[in-house]
Order: sequence, then structure tokens, then C-alpha cells
Amino acid sequence: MTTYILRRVLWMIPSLLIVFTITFLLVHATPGGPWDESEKPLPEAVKQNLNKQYHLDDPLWKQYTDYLVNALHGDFGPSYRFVERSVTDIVQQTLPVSAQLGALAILFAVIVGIPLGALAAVKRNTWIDFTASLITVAGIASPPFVRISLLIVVFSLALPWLPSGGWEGIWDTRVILPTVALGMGPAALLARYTRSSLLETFTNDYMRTAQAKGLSPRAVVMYHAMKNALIPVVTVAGVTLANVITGSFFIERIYGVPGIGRMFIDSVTGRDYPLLLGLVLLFALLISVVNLIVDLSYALIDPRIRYQ
Amino acid sequence: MKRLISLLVLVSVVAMACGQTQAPTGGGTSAPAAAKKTTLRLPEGAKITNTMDPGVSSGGNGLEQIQNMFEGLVYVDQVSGEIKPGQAEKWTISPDGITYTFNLRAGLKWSDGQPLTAKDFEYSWKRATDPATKSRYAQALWPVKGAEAFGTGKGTAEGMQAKATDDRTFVVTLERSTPFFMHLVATWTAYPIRKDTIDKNGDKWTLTKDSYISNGHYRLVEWKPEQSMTVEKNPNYWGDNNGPDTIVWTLFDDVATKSVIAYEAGEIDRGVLVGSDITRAKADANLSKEIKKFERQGSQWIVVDTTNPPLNNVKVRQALSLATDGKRLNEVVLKDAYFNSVSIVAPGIPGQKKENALGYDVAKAKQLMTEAGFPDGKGWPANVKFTFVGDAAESKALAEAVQGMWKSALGIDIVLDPMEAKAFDNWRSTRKDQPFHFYMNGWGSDYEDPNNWYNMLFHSKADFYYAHWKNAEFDKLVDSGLSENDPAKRKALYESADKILNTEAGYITVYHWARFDLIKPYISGLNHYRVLGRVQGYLVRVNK
Repeated sequence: MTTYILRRVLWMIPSLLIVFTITFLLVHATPGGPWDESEKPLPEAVKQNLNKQYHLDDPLWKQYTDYLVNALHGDFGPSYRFVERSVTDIVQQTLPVSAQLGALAILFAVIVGIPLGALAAVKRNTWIDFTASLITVAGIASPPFVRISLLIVVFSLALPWLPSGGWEGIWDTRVILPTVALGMGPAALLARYTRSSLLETFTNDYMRTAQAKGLSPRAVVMYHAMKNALIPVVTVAGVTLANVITGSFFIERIYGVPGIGRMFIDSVTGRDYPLLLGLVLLFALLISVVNLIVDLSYALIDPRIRYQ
Repeated sequence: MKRLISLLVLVSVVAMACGQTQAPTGGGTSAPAAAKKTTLRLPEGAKITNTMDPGVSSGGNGLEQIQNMFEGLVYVDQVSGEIKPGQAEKWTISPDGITYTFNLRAGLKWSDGQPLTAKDFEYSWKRATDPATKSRYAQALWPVKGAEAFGTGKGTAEGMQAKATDDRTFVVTLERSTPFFMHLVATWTAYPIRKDTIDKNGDKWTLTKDSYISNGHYRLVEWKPEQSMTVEKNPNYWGDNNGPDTIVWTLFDDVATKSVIAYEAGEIDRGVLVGSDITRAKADANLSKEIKKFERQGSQWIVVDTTNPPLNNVKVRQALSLATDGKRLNEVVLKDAYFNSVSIVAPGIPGQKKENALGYDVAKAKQLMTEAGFPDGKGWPANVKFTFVGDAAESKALAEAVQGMWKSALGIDIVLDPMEAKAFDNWRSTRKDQPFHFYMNGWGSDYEDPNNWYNMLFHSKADFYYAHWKNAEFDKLVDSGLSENDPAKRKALYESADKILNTEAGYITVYHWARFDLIKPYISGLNHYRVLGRVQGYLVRVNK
């Protein structure tokens, strides 16, 4: 087990380096630079000074190695667009917000998705099942930016119950719409998996045994079926997390949540090279770690899996 | 199941733990206030609030906040456009127009109560010019003797002729007579900033209430990046301030689409209208009463490469301009979101004359095309490209409309070439030595002076848009205009230049800039001046 983890962690190093190199080359190959302004171009002399001050006139290989060496020392450089904050400052400021929103969205997905799927499986082929199917298909099929826009139109404009945007921490009403919008996709996914997995479990012999013992239908489902049915559900957690990360890009932007996903889009459109590279490295690291955790969790949950 | 439950517990603990660290910053702005206090709630773009440092800012988003919190030696009156005394109570200009002496008001203070002196201005002007400051607008102070040398790394701070001779006297010597210099003195680059807070906090001095020391009508309460900014009246400002007690800006990624939603939800007092929202608001019984249209002194053009055949033929350029129906483009295609095209230079700039423009005349355009050798478009080369930023639906509609107009009037075909914004900017900067046909771009005044247009954009040495247009007589006229101190003579020189520009150059105006706002009925005095107009809180009244 330990060797396995060690091997996986060591593999992350070349993976991150490759991701970094490709991103570095891509951003520098993309036309347009941080000082190009479409409405009012900066004068040439000002641009030249900025290039010099930020070492953008250095040869590309030097910029590459400089960034890498600094990054290894924990310095991800200044942001070009947010003069008063370094990349590290921005990550420290925005990552907790996204983590809170993401955690709440996953919580929402689990609380809504799993019971919904279970209910659909137990009441199979009744109107409850069909309604649940309708909800989950809508959840899977609609992209996050459509969901958040619809929620704003309904709950902020048509029924003015909730604010139309912003962020004041997780104890404020402003957290509701982005959480629901972000969590709905994963919730639908979990519901579908729970339903099909439960239905499959129902066909097992031990289920018939449990029923034969005279257990109540509720106990059969809760203690015998769910435990095994949830194994494949947990395996989709990785996919769910990827959903939450990419979904947050749009939702944070549209709802005005000061999170890291919004910064990511900004850094691309603004050609903020250090911020973009820093965030790409961070996301790559996050996804690698989560994948590792998900892989390890298989072994914990499913006794049939062992890592050598 | 147990593991799943513990996972759930873990997730919620993480959420709560993170929530706790965030909690103290939340809710601060909505603290109960005394009943009489007034608050003005405005929208602002979060994306480009790149810096609140007046010495570094390029003047995009963030300028409104800077202008409300700082004041220069003089300021531009946001209603009349005149230069008015700010921190300086008076100033004298030597007869040769080279030496400017500013006398500061007595008893000036910073927002923290410390005295503000002429030395603060000397420090600020030199800091903004210093290349290490990385200013995005340093060129504003380059007319000062020794400033350009210092700013481009060839000179020193001592060599820059902006000196405090005593606590209340600030003397500036220019390289040469510059009639528009007072407009530059009014820009944010020339605002005073406090040395000790910058020495102590570095680039981060703008982030907190205690370190962001200012000298204007308002001072900072809190800046939550990408969320909001709150300011309160500055008790140490020398003059009166009858504006709202606090101003809160909500920072939107996309002000144009998001501020209207927040406005309709009653969360802010001003909404920014663009595109289809203008049409919708005009048709809405309630919103239509709250629409206000403001002029912005700017022009949107189709820039033409005057050296690239067949556009090197002046008759072709004139024909294209005559076949472009600016009235239709604005009123029909863009739903009256702007002001109809008048001439190349925006109205209001001394020298600009409506009569100099070519106007719209299809018959004349056809005749000119025939004379140029393209009767009914015969012989027109293939693959003549029209480049524009394709991200916005509006510019696409405009490009298609122009394509259609030229096709039906002159029988010529052009190819549309949409580009992503940054890619376009980069492409444009390489037009310096590479040919093109047409592209769409615009310019808005930084200050209301002909220099900001004729000399900086169209002079063959400037050639800001790389139209590669050269005309010796035009150059001579605007060179003389630049240093002419008599306003009437100056205007006449630029009017002659304007005639040549409109007849020969490669700019086809499609509209003049405008700004559409939704303003709540209980707000009065909210005005946008046509040059770099921003909401000045002290002029606004919240009657609620």
C-alpha cells in the first residue's frame, strides 16, 4: 500500500511538469499579450517599460526556467492585472471561497441525489420514479451556466426572494443559488447511479435471505442493499469533483462569487501568464491528489480490491 | 454506509471551518446605520479593477473610485468641462507657457489628518514617472522637462523639473509650451499619494482602510476584491461634501449584463445598459422612465490601410465613406445605442467641423468608384478583409451591415474576419509594418483638446492606428496648432487640418460613443461628463 502511494506521488512530479510545460508554451503561443487593450492601446514606450519590468522581454527559455525555479521556492510571481496582489495572495483569497462552495455543492448532491435515487429504485416504475428520472435527466443535461441563469431569473427577478449575486460567506442567503446550481449536476449523477446500482443489488440472493428472515422492507433497503449499492456510487466521486470544479468557473463568474474559478477565466482572457500558470498547476495538483484519494478509497470501501 | 457518513461529516466540517474564517469580513457593510444616513449603490467592473493606485492605473475600471477618493491640483468640472481649482487654490503660467506655478490651499490634510504639502506632489509625480513604478499611464506627465528621459530610463528623478519650492508652492517646468497641460495636471496620474504608506506597504498599500490614505471627498472603508468597495465621507477634505454619506460599489465581472439584473432586483441604484437590454428597457413601462443616455466624446471607425491597393486610391476611400450610412447603422442596426456619425473626430473637440465630413451620398460614391476603375464593383479584388473583435454580437451585426451596404451600393465584396479580443489587439499592433484592408476600432478623448486626436492619432509620426496615412500639409497644420497659445488661431489651424483629414484619410466613422444608464428615480445629480466621465459622489443626492 505504502509503495503504491509513494509511486503515485512520485508520478505526479512528471505529470505536473508536463502540464506546466504545455500550458506555458500554449499561453505564449496564443496571440495577444497582457498589455494589449482593445479600446485604448497603451503607447509603445509604456508597453516596452512594462515588458522590461516584468521580464517579458527575456528569451522564452529564461522565462520558463525562471518561473519554474521561483515556483519551486513557493513564489508564483506577481499578477499582471491585479497589481497589488501576488498569485499566492490571490490563491489564498479565492481558494477558500471555492472550497466552501464546492463542499456545500457536494453536500447538496449527496443529500439530494442519493435519497432521490434510492426512492426511485424502491418505487420503481411508479410516478415517483418517472418524476425522479425527469429531474435527474434535466440535471445532467443542463449545463451549469444555464442552471444558474435560470435560478437567478426565477428566484431573484420573478420571485424576488434571493439576491441576484455576490458572496458573504456560507451563512448568508447568497450561498443558496450557486450551491444549488453547482450541486444539481452531481446530484443528478449520483441519483442515476444510486438507482441503477440499488436495482442491481435487489436481484442478489442475500436480499431474498434478508426478506425471508422477516426484516422490514425499510431495514432490508437501508442495511443490506444500500451498503453494497453505494460502492459504485463512491467511484463516481472523482467525476463529480471534476464537475464541481469546471462548473464553478461559470457559476462563480455569473453569480459574482469571488472564487478561484472566476480568476481562472479572467487570467485566460487577460493573458495574466503568472496567474494562469499558477492556477493550472494548482488545478493539476488538486485533480491528481483527488484521483489518488478516490483510488485509495476503493480499497477501503470494497474489500475485494487490494493495492500492491 | 458508516464511511459515507463520516465523509459527509468531514465535508461539512471543512465547509464550516472555512466559513468561520470568512465570517468576520462578511456582513460588515450591512451594519445598522442611523436612519438619516444615505447610501449610493453603484455598479463597477471587477475584471479590470486592476489597481487602485492612481500613479499606476491606466484609467479603466477603478477610476471612478480613485476620483471619488483623490483630488489633484485641479480638476475637470464634470458638468461644464472647465478646469477648476482643487488642491491648488490658484496657479500662474509664464507668458512663454513653459513654467507653471501652483499655490496650494492652506491647511490641506490627508484623510488621516496629516498635513498635505507640495512635497507630496513632487514625490507623487516622480514616482508615477519612475519606470520601476510600472505605471500604465506615465506618458501623461512626459511634457514635464526631464520626465520622458527619466521615464524611459535615460534620466534621473532629480532631472525631472517638478519641484516643491516650499510647503505650498509647486513649480513645474515643461519641455516646450503645451496648451493642454492643465488637462494633464487634472488626470489621476498627477494625484498626490502618501510616501510613508507606500514605503511601508509596497504595492499592497491600496488594499486596506488604514493604508489607503487619500485626500478627496471620500475615503476607503473596505475593499473586498471582486466583490465590493465601500467609501465614506472624508472629514479632512478642505471643502464641503453634500453627497451621500457612503458609496458602495458592487463589482461585477460583466457590468453590462449583471448590473441590469441587480438594478431590477433593487440591489443597486444605477444599471449599465447595452445591446438588446436597451431595446427591452425602452419597451418596458417602468424601466423606460429610468433610462438616461449620456454622450461620450469618442468615435468608432473603420480604419483603412491607405497604402494597400485598391485602398491606396483616395477616390476608393471616399467612395466607401460616402456609401456608409451612419444614420442607418446606429438607428436601425444598433437600435440607437450610440450617436449618429458626424465626422472622423468626435464633436466638441476644437477644430472638428461637421461641414468637413463627406457625408452619405450613394450616387457620388458610385461615380467615384467608376472613376477609380471599379464600375459596379467590376475588377474589385477578391479577399478584401474586414477585421473586427467577434466576441460581441454588436460588432458582428455592424460588420455584416457594412458589408451589405457596400455590396448593394458599390457592388463590391468584402470578407469578414472576426477575432478574439486579445488576438485582435495583438494583430493590430503588428499592422505597423504589415498590410491590412479594414478593421474596426475607436478612440475616446482623454482630455478635451485637439492634441489628443489630431496630433496623437493622425499625425504621420504618430500614426496610432497604422493607417499609414501621410499628408505634409496636415502635419504642418497640427504641429503649429500644438504650440499655438491663442485659442482662436489654434482652432482655425485645426479646422483646416480637419478638412484634409476628412477628405483624404482612411477613417470611416460608424458612430460616436454613448452611455446608457438606468437610474433610480430617487437619485438626482448623477452625471457622466463626456470625457472620461465617472460618477462623482459629491454631486449626487439620494432622496430616499
